[in-house]
Amino acid sequence: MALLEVRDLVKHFPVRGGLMNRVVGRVHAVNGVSFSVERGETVGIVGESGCGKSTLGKCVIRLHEPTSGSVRYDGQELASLSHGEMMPFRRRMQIIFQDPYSSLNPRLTVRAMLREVLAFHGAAKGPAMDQHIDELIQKVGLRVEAAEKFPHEFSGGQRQRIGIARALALEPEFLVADEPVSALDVSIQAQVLNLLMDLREEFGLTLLFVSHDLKVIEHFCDRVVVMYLGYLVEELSCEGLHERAQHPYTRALLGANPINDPDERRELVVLQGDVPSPYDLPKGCPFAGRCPLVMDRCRAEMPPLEDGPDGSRVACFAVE
Amino acid sequence: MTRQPILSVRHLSTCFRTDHGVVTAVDDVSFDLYPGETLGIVGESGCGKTVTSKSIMRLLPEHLSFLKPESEILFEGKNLARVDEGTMRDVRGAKIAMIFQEPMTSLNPVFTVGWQLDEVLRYHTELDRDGRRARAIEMLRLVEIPNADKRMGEYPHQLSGGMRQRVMIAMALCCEPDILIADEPTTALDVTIQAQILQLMESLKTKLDTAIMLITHDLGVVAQVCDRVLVMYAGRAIEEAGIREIFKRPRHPYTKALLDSIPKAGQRRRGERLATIPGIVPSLFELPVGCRFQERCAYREARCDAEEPALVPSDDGRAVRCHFPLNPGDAPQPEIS
Repeated sequence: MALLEVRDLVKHFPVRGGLMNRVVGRVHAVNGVSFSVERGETVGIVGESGCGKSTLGKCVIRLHEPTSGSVRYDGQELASLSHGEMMPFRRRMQIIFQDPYSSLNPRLTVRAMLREVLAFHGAAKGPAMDQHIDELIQKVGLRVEAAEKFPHEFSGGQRQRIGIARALALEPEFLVADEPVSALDVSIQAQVLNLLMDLREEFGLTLLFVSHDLKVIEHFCDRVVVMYLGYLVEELSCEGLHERAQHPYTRALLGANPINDPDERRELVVLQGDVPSPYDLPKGCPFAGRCPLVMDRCRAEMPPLEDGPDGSRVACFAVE
Repeated sequence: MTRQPILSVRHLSTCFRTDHGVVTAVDDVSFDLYPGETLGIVGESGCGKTVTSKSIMRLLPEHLSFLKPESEILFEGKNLARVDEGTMRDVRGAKIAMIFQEPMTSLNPVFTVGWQLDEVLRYHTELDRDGRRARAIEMLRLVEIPNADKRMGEYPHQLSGGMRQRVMIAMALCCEPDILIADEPTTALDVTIQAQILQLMESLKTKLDTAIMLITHDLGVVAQVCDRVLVMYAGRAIEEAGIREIFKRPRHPYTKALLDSIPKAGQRRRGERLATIPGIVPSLFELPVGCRFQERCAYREARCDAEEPALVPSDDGRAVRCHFPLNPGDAPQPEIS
C-alpha cells in the first residue's frame, strides 16, 4: 500500500469583494488531482507559477484544508481528522519552505526555535533535547555554535539548512519540500540538494518535491507529476524522462529549458501566449490555448488521464 | 579585421558608503562590448554584476556610491564616468537602454503602457503626437504583443509578467539604442515565457543590430544566447572568454565548479551527488589577502593565500585571474599589461 494516496483533490480559494465582502468568484488552484507516493520514494511535482503545485503540497499535509477529495496517509484519511487527531501525523509529516528568509522566526535563536518544535510535540526534554539539537545542527552541515545565532546571521543556504533541521527535528518519515532550492545561488543549490540526498538516505525519507525546475527534479526524484493550471496532465518516471515524455506541455517544458552547452544551442520550444487565469478556467483541456497539437475536440472536452506503460499517465487527445 | 568596441569599460571600481565603512562592490573591472554581439556577465548574488550595469548607466544613488577616479566608461568618445547628468540623460534610453529583472516593479503602475512609451519618445525624438503613437504601436507589434493598439490604453497590472517584460523591451528599444543592457531579464519568468523572451531578444538583436549585455546567474541562458562571457566573483572579473571556450575549457576553478554544480538535463543518475563549491562567498568587508576564491577552491596552494592573481590576458582573446589556471594545454601567455 502506498504511504500517501491523494484522490480527486480539489482546492478552491474564494475571492471576496464588493458589498459585504461576499464571495464573488473562485480561484481554481487544484482541480481533481490523484496520485500516490510509495514508501521511500521521491515524487516531484513540476509546473509553472500558479499551476497549483505548492497548494497541492500544502493540502497534502493539511496546511491548506482541501475543498474536497481525499488524502490518505498510511491508510488513514487525513481530511476528516480533528486538530488533535492530526497531531501524531504532524510529527510524521513535515515541510521545508521555499523562502529561507521569511520562514524562520527572526526573534528566536536556532536553538530556541528547535526547542519549541520539540517541546510542542513532547519529543524530548532537558539535556537530551539539547543534545538532540546539537546533533541535528551538525547533521545539516552547520557548526554547533550556530545554535546560539539568530536567522539574520546566516546566509540563504545556511538558513535553508536550518529550515531542514527544523523539518527533521521530529524525525518524520514524510517530507514535503516546497521549492527548497529555488531562492538559492547555483553553487549553494548543489550543496543543499546533496544534503537532502544524504538525509533522504540516512532517515529513509519519503519525499514530495515541489519545483519549477525540471532539471533539478530529473536529478533528484524517482517520478514526476506535471501540473498545468491545477490539473495533473502527465505522470511518469524520471528515468528516460526526455525520451518518454508525451504530453505537449511536458515536451515544451523540456524544450524551453536551455542546455548548458553552446554546441547544442537549438531553437527553444516556444509556446505562444500565457497561462490562462485560474480564476475562470477555459472549457476543455487547460493547455488547449497554447498547445501546438490542438484539435477541435480539445477545446470542447477535458481529455481523461489515461494509463500508459510503466505506470505513466497522460491526459491528452493527441497522444496515442 | 579589427573591430572597434562600441563600449569600453576600464578599471571600473564602484564603492558604496555604508554604516560599516566603504565597500568596493565592483573592483577594477575592464571589458569591451562590440557591435552586434551578446556579452554575458555571469556570477552569483553579490558578485557585482548588477552594480556593473548600473554603474555604466549611472543609475546608482550618488549620495551612497561613487566611482573611483581611475574608472572609465568610454562610449562615443566620451567617458560616461565623468559626464554631467544632462549628457547622461541623452544617452540613457536613446543610446544605451536597460531592462530590469522585475517587470512588476519597473513599470509605473499609475500610467498606461502607451503613456510610458510616449514619454521615452517625447524626450528623445522630434516626432509629433501621431508619429509617436504610431511608433509606440509599431514597437509593441515588434515585441509581438497582440492587439497592440488596445494594449496602449492598459495599465501594467492588466498585463501578465511576460507581457510586462515585452513592454519593457519595447520601451528600451523604441529609440533603437546601440546597446541594450538586460539585467536578469528572464529570472522572474516561467521557463516557457523565458524561452519566448530569449527568442524575442535574439531576433531583435539581428533586426536592429544592437549590442546586448546580458547579466544573469543562469548558465543555461548564457549558453543559449551569448557570444562571449565575463565571469565575476566577489567584485572581480575572474575570467573572460568566448562562449565555447568557457563551457568546454574553463580556466578558472570557479568557472569550472559553477558549471559542474548544475544538474545536467537528460543525463540522469538518481542519487548521484552534485559537484559542489564548499563554503560561501566571502563578505566584501572581510576580503582575504590573496585570491578571493581561495577558501572554496579545490586547487588552492600557498601562493593563493599570499597574493591575489592579476587578470592575465592571453593571445587567444581570453583572460583569467588565477595563479594556476586549468586546462594547461592552452596555458595563458605571460602577463602583457
